[in-house]
Amino acid sequence: MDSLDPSPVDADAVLLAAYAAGDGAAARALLDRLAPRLLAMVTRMLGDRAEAEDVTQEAMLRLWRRAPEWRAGEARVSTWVTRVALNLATDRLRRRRTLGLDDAFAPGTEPADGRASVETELRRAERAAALRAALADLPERQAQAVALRHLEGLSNPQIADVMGIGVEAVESLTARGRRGLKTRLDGQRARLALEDGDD
Amino acid sequence: MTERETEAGQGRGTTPGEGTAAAEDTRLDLAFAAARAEASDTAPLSASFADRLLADAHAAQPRHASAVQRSVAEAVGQVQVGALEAQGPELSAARPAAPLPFASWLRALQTMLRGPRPVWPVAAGLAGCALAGVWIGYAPPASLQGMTDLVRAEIGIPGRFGAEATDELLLAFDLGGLDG
Repeated sequence: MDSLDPSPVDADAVLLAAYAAGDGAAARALLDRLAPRLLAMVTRMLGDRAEAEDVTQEAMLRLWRRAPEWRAGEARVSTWVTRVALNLATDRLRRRRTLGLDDAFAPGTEPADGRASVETELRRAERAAALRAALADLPERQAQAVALRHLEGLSNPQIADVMGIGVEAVESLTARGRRGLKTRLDGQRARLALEDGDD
Repeated sequence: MTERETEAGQGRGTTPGEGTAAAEDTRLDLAFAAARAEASDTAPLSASFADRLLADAHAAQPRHASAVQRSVAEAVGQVQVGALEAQGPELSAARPAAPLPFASWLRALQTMLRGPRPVWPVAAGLAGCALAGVWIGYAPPASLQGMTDLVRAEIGIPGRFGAEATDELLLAFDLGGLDG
């Protein structure tokens, strides 16, 4: 995520200050810089575009409301709003726990024979759904660390920044999260198209 | 938040029939790849969604940001504007505007005088009042001075207060008389 790159000046903070001072164009510029990445991140976590838009909208709304009291230097705007979106997405993910892995792979979602491309797409969707269900079942901090590391591709220092913890804690959370996911996915292996070389 | 451990399954990789740790890693990586494939690094905003976000931004924008907030924001913008310009024209164009107070006042005056409905009478009235105020302050009319002396004599202020305090009191009285 480029916006999390450490650069000497937080351009987003400058734009946020301009927005708070009444500059309408600054809001548009901030949206262009932040919202597409937030939306992509939340879409990957939730797998539902409409829900991801709701989360992105809520995160941005919290940023607008925070603008008048924003104090430059406390945190980078992109980091702060990513953390907000991550927490909101995790909350939604965990509310889905009642769905469970069994429902994610209910009969009727199996691909039909002879339709390779459709089958591939279905399997991919199943895997993504299985992952999200397993993520929802993980402890919250583990789920967040794993999502940032393996879905967003952030480095450990970047994750530490977003989550407000140390790098060692990130490593620990990520490792435990992976183990937890493997445990959960392993239980569903018989019904999941997760075998090696499926693609 | 309570971190509940989920390590009960540790060592499962070595259990017969449940696959190796490497195979589990592969399966997990496939699942991650599948989830990543559902959205690119950035998801373009639809026009309607962008409009919703902008509407939120405008609704939440402080309408009456205090002068202090504005000056702080402008100061931040001025300090960092050099670095912004180094990051590209998009950002430097969107930097916070920091107009000088006098320049804004002058612009407002120009707008008022050159507008579609000239407001010369109002401007002339304001200018006349300002000149009158300056003149009265510099050379008070005899009638006002007389009123001040009259009050001074009536209430006998010099006997109870110093001359300077009396003048301050009567100055307020004179100004009150001007107000009507």
